[in-house]
Amino acid sequence: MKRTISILAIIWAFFCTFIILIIFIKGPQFTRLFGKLPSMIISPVYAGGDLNYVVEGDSLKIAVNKPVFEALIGESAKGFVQITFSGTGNLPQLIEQEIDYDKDLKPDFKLKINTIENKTEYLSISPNAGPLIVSSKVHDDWVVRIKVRNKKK
Amino acid sequence: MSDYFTTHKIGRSLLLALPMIILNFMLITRGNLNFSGSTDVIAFSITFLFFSYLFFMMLYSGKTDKYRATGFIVFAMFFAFTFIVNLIKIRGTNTFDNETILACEIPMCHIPAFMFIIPAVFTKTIIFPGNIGSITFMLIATVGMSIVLGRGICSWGCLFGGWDECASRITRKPVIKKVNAVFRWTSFAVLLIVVLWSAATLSPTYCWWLCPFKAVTEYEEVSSFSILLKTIVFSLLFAGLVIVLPILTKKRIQCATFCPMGAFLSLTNKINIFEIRIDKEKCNNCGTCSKICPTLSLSKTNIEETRPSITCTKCGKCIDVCSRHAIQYHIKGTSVIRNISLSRYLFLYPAFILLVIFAGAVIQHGIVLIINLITTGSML
Repeated sequence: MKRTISILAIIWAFFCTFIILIIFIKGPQFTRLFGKLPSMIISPVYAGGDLNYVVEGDSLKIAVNKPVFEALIGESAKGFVQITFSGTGNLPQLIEQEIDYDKDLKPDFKLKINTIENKTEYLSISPNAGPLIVSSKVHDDWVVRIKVRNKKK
Repeated sequence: MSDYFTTHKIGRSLLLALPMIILNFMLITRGNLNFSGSTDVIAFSITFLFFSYLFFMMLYSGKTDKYRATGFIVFAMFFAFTFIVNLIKIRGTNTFDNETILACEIPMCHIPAFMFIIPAVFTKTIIFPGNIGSITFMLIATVGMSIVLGRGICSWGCLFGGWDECASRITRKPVIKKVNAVFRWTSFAVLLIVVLWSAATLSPTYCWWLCPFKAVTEYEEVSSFSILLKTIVFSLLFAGLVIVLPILTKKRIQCATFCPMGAFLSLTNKINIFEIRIDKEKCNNCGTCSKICPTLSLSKTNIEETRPSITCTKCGKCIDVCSRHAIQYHIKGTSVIRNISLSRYLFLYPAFILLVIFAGAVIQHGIVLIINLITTGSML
């Protein structure tokens, strides 16, 4: 028995070299395979959440995401909503927009963004809309995150 | 007669190193021999000869640690250098800001993997603002490496371990002569705190707040008080744990007492086939191994139990220093007194391949950048 275990251990140790090689040589295939697992998505805390609706204008497209109330278990009382402004060409120098993030047909906050000077003015209208978290250029778009309160909590 | 033995030893070592030399060639070229110019040929040749020499010398001299550490330290330095230069090429700076985070473009190393487990179970998502493809690959690589080498990753494949390894080798004698082995368990406390903190906040808190190696890679642009605080914290940790304390103690203090990934990988040492063992028959309890162990893994109790603690990184330093050859690489399930050379070869092959896979491309690229700097005055 001892001898069998010893031989099996040596065989396993020998294969360790090949395991290391396979992991790195076949890395891209493994990445594609494991990338399809349900847990392999970036948390909405970083990705910004799922798309809620899009408003398309002449020179500006506004993507309003669903509010993110991510918590380890259930939902948190506070979260954020992400708005992405995309230009059909370049981003306009001045973006002035009222946003209704919860689709209750009433504006929840108002944004005035100077994309050249990197200045954002924010006005909360709804009591559920909290302060501005971040307003930043991201590649060719402009992304804004506003703190919001979870109505269910 | 001695010439005969020397020639015989060189021939034997060359023969045993030959598969690795061929693998070195394949891994460093990545199967592509279309060099774009003489710079590439020079960079390839230096890298290939460097790694082939290190492995040959490991077999010829019978010593592991000196040659491993050389490759490991050079790798860490070149990694930081090439990483920063590449970021400056892409972003114009090695700092990141809101744009990088919102675009989910933060590069991920192997260290945050343990923080993802609890959030992944409960939220089915990865709590890191990076590219999902590279995160997936890094997770697969970390799991695979830990199955094969356990905590051996910390001495053979870690992107940053070479920094405190280097600092721990600067002085000939330690200024602080005794570091209590109990401090090896503090990294487990850090692991526990970071895991709970990450799960509670759904953020990679070690990366945001504690990782000292941001000092040699990338860090957040200081634009608020909290970011300033983070910058002070990681700078002090780098200065203290990676530079000053390793110089004073000749121990890898960051790896031994603070790194939560190291603590996490210690757990995988339990399921790993390779280990270090002490032959009680040969050991005279001189305590030299205990004194020189860079990760505080060999206490008196460990020597009595004939194996280091689970925090052992399999660097081979204790094996090299033991004058009675009482310590050796060992394959679990086999006899401690037999197959000593076989166990060492079977460990060295995957461990060294790991080093070459990570370090080969990095060092080659670093040499290209240095040659470009010398010949054109610019690396960018």
